[in-house]
Amino acid sequence: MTTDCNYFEPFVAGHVDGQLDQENGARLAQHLQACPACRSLVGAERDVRHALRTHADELREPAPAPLRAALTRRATVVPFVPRPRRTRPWQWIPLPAVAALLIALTGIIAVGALAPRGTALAAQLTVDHLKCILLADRHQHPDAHAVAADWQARRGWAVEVPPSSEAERLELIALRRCLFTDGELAHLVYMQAGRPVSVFILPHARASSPELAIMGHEMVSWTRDGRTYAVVADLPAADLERVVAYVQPRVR
Amino acid sequence: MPSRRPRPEPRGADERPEFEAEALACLDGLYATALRLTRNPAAADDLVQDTFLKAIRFSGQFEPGTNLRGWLFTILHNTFRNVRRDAGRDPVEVDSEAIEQAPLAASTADPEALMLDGALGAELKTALDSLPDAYRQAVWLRDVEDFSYAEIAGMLDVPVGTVMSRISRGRRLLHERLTGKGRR
Repeated sequence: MTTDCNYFEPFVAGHVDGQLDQENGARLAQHLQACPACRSLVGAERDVRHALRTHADELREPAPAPLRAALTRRATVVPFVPRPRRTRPWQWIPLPAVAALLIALTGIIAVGALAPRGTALAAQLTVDHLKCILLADRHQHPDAHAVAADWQARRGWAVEVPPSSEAERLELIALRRCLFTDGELAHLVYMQAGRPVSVFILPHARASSPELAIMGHEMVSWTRDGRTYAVVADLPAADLERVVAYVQPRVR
Repeated sequence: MPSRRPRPEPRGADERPEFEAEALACLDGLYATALRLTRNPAAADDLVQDTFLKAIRFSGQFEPGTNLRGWLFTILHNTFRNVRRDAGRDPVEVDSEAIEQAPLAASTADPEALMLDGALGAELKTALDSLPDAYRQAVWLRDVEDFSYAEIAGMLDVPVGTVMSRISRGRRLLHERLTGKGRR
């Protein structure tokens, strides 16, 4: 290698990819004629480029079917027809409506420091509630013990998951990981009589008012043994109370 | 509703149904790229979901007729950087020791070219995953996803010259690992 080589070395990839401008391309071509070391670099890069392009289809692992199904379902959702609140059965909200709501909630999170105590937390959890119910597969009914074991194996901290309850018409749909300002939190997604309910487990205690209403969703939260828990849903008050009464003693 | 600044009127997919169909057509490439970024299927799944949600949320900012695939890949990489930053990790871990150990020259003799030609996809994947993040991202976007230097510079938020040198060094490290050849 010579001083010239050090100058030309950064241009080798551009030469191999045919992305050098005319001036640099001509100067490098001239140098390569006289320099076997740089010709070797070109050869090595060309070989690797060729191998990667030849095997590109093998290297690109296709998206898993459940992910494709979830995103496709979101894309083909029925149009949203607003009806008076509380009188309609819950239905999948179309993406535009969720997008508008997410933008509104982001505003609350952005001014969290100025907002009433716990409002930013409620807004964040409502965002996660909307996001995850949008992406969760309603037709999955995983076993509570199995998802808890899987969570501990993957995430390294233990949770206790309240199982589905026929009496409460509560079905466990998923345990998802959500990212929060303090790190990750566990998000249990349920359907209660066909309406989505989220139960959050925050591994650290957080200050919040016990009950808050935000953007049409209620959040009930409590702290126990250094963890904060929250239930977020758009349910009639009596139904929400029943869900909280069922979940509170069972979640850890 | 408190708000710091006016936001663009959100425009949803109902105004442009082709947007989501086109976005879904990019799903495999996005997932494969997310998997090489995170090297973890669950994290790749989360990253792609977040990317789609953001794309739909900001679909009003996308100019129809421009490069949707490039736009989605840019969102994917921005999201990845944000997640890593939130987790307290620098997304661009340039391993200077690896750079120094990258072979400065390699032979173009036929036996090596044959070895690379004969390399299996699985070997390539393992070798790619062993690269420092910054090189793996650049090489992947160029040689597997076939983006231009300018597009990659936009996605990784670095100058074109940096893209070129990362691709170069990444390819040389791959060559070393695939041929088992150390420093001369």
